[in-house]
Amino acid sequence: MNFSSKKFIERLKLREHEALTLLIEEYHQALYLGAIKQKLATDQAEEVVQETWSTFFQKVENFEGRSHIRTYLFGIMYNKIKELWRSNKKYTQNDEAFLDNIFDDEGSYLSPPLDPGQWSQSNEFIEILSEELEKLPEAQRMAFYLKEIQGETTQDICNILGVSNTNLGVLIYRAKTQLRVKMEKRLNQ
Amino acid sequence: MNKLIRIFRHLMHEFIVHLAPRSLRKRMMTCEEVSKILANNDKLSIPLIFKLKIHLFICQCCTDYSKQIKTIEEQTHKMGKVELTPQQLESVKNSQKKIIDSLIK
Repeated sequence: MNFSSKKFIERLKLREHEALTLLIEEYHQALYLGAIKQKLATDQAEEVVQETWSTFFQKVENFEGRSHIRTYLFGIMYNKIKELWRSNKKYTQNDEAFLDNIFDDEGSYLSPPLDPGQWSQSNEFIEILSEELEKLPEAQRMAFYLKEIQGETTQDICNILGVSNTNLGVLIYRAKTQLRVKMEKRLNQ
Repeated sequence: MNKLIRIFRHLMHEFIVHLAPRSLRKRMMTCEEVSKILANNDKLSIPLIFKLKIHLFICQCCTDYSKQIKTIEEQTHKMGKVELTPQQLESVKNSQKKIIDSLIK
C-alpha cells in the first residue's frame, strides 16, 4: 500500500473512512513506540498519539504530499512532544556559553577531550546520559533523538523540524558536544 | 606503549599547529573542523577522507573525541531499542480501536 500516492491522499482529504482506518492501523503503533522512545510515560505517550491523530484529521486537507505521510504524522507528534517538554517543569534552560570556548583561534582544543576508556562499562552511564539528554535545549534534543534513537534520515529530520541541512548539522554537533563535555565531567570526576 | 603513542601524537600535533610552515598548516584540517565532521558522520569526498585520516593519525585530542562520540552514539542506539510490553501493546490496540470508532461518529 502506497500511503503517499496522490490517490490515497485524495481519499484521506475526502475523509474516506477506509483510507483513514488503513492509515491508523499502519502508523498508530509506530507513533506510540516513537513517543515511548522519547521517554514519555505510557499514559503521556497515549495522549500525545491521540492528539497527533486529532491534529492530523484537522489538517489533512492542507497536506500537499511534499513529504511522505509518515514524516508528516511524526512531525505533528514531535511538535506535540515539544509542547509537552515545554510544559514540563523538569525542563530547565541550558547554558550553552561554554560551547564557544572549546577551541582556540587556530581551531585547536583549549582543554583536550579525555580518553573515554571504560565509560560504557560504567553502570551509571545510561542513567547519566538520559539525564543529560533531557537537559539539552529543545531543538538539539529533538534533532539528536530523531537521528540517533529514531534513526530517521537527514531529509526527514529536516522536514520534521523545518530546518535546513546545515542547521541540522549545527544542532547535532552542539548536542553531541554538550553531551560529551558533560559526560566527561561526570564520569571522569 | 600506549602512553608513548599518545605523547608522540601530542608532540606531532603541536609541531604542526605551531611550527610547521603556513602552507602545510593551511592544508591540514583543524580540530574544530574535524569535530564537526565526526559529530555529523558527514559523507566526505576522497580528498577530505584522506585529510581526516591524516589529522586523526597525528591528533590524540580528536582520536579521543571520536571515541567519546562513538561511545555516546552506541549507548544511545541501545536506548532506542525499545520493545512494547504486552500491557502497552494491549493499550495501543484499545486506543487504536477508540480512534477508529470515533471516525464513524
